[in-house]
Amino acid sequence: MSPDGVSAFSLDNLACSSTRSSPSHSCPTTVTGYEPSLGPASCSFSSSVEQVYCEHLDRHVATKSRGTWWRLDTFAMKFAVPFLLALCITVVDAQFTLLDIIRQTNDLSRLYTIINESASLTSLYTSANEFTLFAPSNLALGIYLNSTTGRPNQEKDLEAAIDYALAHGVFPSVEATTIEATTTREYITSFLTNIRYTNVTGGQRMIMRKTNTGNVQIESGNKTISFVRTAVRNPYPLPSPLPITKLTRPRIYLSVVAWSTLSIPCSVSLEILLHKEWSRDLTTSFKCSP
Amino acid sequence: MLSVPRDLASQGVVAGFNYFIQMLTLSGLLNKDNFAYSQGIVTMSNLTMFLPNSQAALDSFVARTVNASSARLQDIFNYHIVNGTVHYASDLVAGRSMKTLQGNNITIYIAPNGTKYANGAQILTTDYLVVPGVIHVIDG
Repeated sequence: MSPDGVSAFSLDNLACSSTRSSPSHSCPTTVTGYEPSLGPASCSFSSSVEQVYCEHLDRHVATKSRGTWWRLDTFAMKFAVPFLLALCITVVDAQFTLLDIIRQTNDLSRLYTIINESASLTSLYTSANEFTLFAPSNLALGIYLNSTTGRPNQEKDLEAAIDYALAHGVFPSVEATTIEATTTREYITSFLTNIRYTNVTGGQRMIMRKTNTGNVQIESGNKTISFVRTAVRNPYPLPSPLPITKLTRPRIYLSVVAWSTLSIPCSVSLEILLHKEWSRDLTTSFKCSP
Repeated sequence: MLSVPRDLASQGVVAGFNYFIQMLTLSGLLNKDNFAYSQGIVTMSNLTMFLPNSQAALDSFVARTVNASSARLQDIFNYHIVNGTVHYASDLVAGRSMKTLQGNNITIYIAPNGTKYANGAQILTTDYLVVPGVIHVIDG
């Protein structure tokens, strides 16, 4: 290519076409047996609408079984409702973090240790939301560590690599029948923003695509290819028709609605909300009197 | 384990862009006299580089740069760099035109067989992710 020369390539001979494809989504999804921890308590009261909005429960209560949740609400009905004669909505926010999920996943124990030993990584992995994590397995991390031991800046490079594994955006699990293979490339923005490692606005990119055989590939620096081996999904079991696609902070909303005290026509609804779009499917309601 | 993208120099060595490295060496743009220029390039942000890496490209470079001034050499290299926007492979669509550091445009053409060209140079490999953006390898 010469700056002042005429291109030897003739446009007349070409049938120009665009090869750009619509973006694909892919990715993670499976962790089981997870017990959530809950966030700190907070309450607000709005007298104008006679509504109490409680967001509470401490970690001690939160780690107990769901039966405890019911007892808590029974408590709320006994003592709060009679005095308020109002609508009381108790919201329990089960804010378990990405770091919690990593800790609970056997094959990510090395990753957990590394994150836990770094203040910046711990901060990122406990505060990130709306993300997809391409988590290096113990094996992958072991190979990486063996190959980089003794290098200058090894610690910073490792932190950068762990930042880079976390991508902005939620990418649904890949369904073999719905995603076009090979030609579809998704450029994903990572949480790696350290200027030493990236000078790309918004964060360094990685490329996600799918092979003809249906495997999800992540292409990173120096055209390194990584495969998604195991998907990590939200810890709560969901009805099988629902794709579990969102690796974010699930929430449990526990609602108590009461209209009076003594006659107690009341209804109690339990809503497990892992994803806004799924709330309708996961809501269960109870009525304790006609 | 995802590989964190490298800086331009490191990527060139690791990927074996030997013809290009030879061009750089011959140009003298890596010498201390041209330090400001080379530093300016490597510290750019949102950069797209069309990196020539073939015997033909090297031969052409040698033929065109005999006794060339530093300014002329910089012009040649600048013609391969788009600053300010990262054009990944999916952005290299037919008719896409990008203004280079040198001032002229690079326009993307696609042959009937799907082969992509940046002006007259065939695009050999796309999407080497690097610290400041992306590198596409061309043949001339």
